[in-house]
Amino acid sequence: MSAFHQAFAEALTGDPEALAAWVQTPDLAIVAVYRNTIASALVEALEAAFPAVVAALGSDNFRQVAAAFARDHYPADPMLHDYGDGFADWLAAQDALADMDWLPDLARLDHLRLSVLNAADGVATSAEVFADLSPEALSHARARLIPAARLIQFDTTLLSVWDALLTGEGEGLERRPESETLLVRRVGEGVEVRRLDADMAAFLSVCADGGTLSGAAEVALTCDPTTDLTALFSHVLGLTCLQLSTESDPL
Amino acid sequence: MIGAGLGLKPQHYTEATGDRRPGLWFEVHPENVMVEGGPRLAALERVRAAHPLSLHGVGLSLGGPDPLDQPHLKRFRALIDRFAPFVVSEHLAWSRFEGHSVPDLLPVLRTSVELQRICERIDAAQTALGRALLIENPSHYLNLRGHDYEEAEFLSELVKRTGCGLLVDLNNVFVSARNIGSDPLAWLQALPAQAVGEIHLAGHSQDPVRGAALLIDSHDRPVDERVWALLDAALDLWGPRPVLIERDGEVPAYVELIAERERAQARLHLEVAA
Repeated sequence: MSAFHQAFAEALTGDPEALAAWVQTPDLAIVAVYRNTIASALVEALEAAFPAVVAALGSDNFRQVAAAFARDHYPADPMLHDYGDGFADWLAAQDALADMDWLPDLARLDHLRLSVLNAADGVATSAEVFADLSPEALSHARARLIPAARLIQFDTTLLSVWDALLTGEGEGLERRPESETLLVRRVGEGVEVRRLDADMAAFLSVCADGGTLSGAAEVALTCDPTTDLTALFSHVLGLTCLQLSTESDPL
Repeated sequence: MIGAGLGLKPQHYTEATGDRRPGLWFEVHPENVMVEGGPRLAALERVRAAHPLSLHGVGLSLGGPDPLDQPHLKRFRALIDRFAPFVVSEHLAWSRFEGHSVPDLLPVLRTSVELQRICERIDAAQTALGRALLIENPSHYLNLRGHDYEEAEFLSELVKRTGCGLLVDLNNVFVSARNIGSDPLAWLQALPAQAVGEIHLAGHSQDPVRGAALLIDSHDRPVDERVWALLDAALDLWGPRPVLIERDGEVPAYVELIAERERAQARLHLEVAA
């Protein structure tokens, strides 16, 4: 890095005097134009990416929090729609936000929603293709989630809080102490987030981890012995989120 | 003929796709569509099916200290291959250091050493992208000491040594001239006319602290009349060139932006008629 580049980088992070060899003293403060442009673009990117966190904190508070994150976390690459990968963990480490211990989970769900929106266009295998498999082939088959469908699990319920914040309804802000698995999938040009029943969550988790469909069925039955596997599989196929993986296309 | 175009905003995708007025084209920051799939790319496919497209990069950091970002070049190349833009452009600026990128266009120190180094980087980028680039002049806020070259002279050397073209941002010329005390007309006259492949127009604002003494390239309002006057001067010098209206903040309704575009288009028609 040249001396000029080094000095400019230092000036951006708070020491304008570093540029004294290249800029007349009265003008050193102008480096703030660059610093402010960077800060406001990063804050705007976070605002767009984390709408539920914005709703939870309020816009002014969010901008302060986001600016603090942005100061210490320049993006890894120039694509700002991808910015904020570490925001949830950073929120979790902020003592000042400890009262809002559900904030990091909101950020995780916001971030996953955006990842799903921009995920690759893998096509789900149709119900007809699954129906054409023999029972034996079906039980040994593996089906993974398409890129635009992802699971996320929380120890306490989150979806009702997330929904209430985004719709501004203010209802459902209590988190219940029960685990919740959500399926986040792209539908048309938007993203749908739905809570899965325990057996469905267990089934799809096995699929996502690369297990066989029979393995997924076993886990679903263990989770809920009353599960109607035919109905469950039919429901899964209706979500158009699985891609059949043949033996020549190992996971 | 490629006439006057608009910077494409996501909220205008549908209107842009359906707008078939002659000569209209759109420009996109490739960084905004470097996604794996989904609605952004699908919408851009629809716009591209109806209009010529320009890809205007902001993240290559051609003047930067870090090695060129190879994954970024690959993503950029994939978009060029997919969307076949009629022009691909970047900036004489830097934005990447110590493995991170910042969303701004930082100034280059125009020394002989930097000229050689930046030419090598432009060469490498053009090879990786399979296209000649147009290089844009950024806005200047700091009157840096230590340049060996005037900006127009430096840009002309880039053209000579790398075969790149130039994207002249007339708002940046105006803002820089006001901020650091240069002469915009002399700046325009010093460029090699044949190298100019595109012209940008945008709005600027005054710095909240320093007022009119420091103009900010804010892209958040209509093009200033004095920048329109520079367009007249530039087209008189160079003849018709693709002209783009940029708006990135306080984005108004499509009809309002297209009205500004129509003014640029009418000006281009005068030039063609002459």
